[in-house]
Amino acid sequence: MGDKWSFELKTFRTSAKNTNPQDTKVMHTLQLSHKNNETVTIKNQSAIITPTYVPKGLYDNDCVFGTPEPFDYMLSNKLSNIWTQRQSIKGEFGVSYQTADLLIRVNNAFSYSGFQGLILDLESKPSDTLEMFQKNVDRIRSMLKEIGLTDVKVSLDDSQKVEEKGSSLFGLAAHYLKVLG
Amino acid sequence: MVQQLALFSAIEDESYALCVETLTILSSNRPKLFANFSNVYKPNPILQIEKVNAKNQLVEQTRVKLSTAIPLSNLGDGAELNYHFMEKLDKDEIETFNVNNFIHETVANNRNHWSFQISDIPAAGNNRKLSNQTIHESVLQSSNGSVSSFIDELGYVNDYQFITVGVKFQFQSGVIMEIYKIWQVVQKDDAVSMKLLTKDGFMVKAMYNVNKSTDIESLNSGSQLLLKLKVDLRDYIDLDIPDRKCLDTRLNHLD
Repeated sequence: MGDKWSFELKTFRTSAKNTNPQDTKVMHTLQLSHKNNETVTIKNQSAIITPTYVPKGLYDNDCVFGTPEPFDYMLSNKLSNIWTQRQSIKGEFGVSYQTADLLIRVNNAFSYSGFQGLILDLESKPSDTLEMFQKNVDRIRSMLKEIGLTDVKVSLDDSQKVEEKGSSLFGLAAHYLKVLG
Repeated sequence: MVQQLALFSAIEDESYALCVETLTILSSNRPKLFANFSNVYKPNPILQIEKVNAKNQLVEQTRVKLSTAIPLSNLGDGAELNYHFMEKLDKDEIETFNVNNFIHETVANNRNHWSFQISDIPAAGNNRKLSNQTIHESVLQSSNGSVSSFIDELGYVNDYQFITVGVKFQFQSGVIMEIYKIWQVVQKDDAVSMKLLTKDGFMVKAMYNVNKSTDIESLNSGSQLLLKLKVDLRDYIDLDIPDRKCLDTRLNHLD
């Protein structure tokens, strides 16, 4: 059994009127402890990442004076006339297991109203192909079926390209959104 | 969040060299050249935004400022720069700096880090000797698309842009002094040009940053350090408290 991990997914909704009716009114922020607690903020197809350190260039060139805050703090504290927090789904003290084929992270997801479900985050070895990963995922799914867990939502990353650090965190956040949102 | 104590002044172009020497001795530190590009956004006027939030608290509309570093290698067209660089900057354009390229590359490049700042109006009061302002800060890096498209999704639109170039002195005590110039960035169609706002002189800023607004001890010692500096520099650089209205980032059209 490996490291403990946690996550928090917050949902914000715009309270501004006269927005474009085709646009989503919802914005999400996600923090994952196994991704350095960086905050990913997503609306539509736009996403930004807030690191937990101050990049030296920003400090040296007078762009930052102190200790920056995660972006969800900005939304709740300084932008609350436009953005209102509607929901928070949290998983704390999750466990992770390293098997021969997969890194499996397990956590209980809770919202204000109670238990939302069990979340499984499966990660392949970097050298594995998509077919190998798919086979391992299917094995886990049949195991879940055997113990009677049939109501499962799955979000699978089938892009095989080696992604940059930034966009891979965005991709991961999109999976959490898909299964929890 | 940072609590910023500050005093301001200005000097003429001719005083720059002597001023740098004086502050080098006073701070026992070399001057450090710095440069940044700031983009100020305001709430999208198309949106109807309530004056109160869901908890019925009054929240005023403020501008937000995004800034990013201008690498000194860009500024000097590859040449190594020191504080003497500032001596030649008395025109609208900076000869060695291609502002067009910089802006276009910065907008297209999504690896840049940006600071995101919202400033409260400085504290009011009759007997204030220095400016005390709360600045809320975050850092953004785009992961998908551009930072400006995210700001658009956030509900903000472009207001104005400017470039700051200057030197700063880090005092042992924690006080920071800066001598700098500001250029407005004007974008017309696809062409970008600069306009020097601080003609014939330099802005001077002395500041002390405290990370927690509840850290009264640091705020008090910072105030004392700045006021002592003001006395030390009296009749040479007259450091003064700025008009707090000038540091007000709220939109006035709501009055």
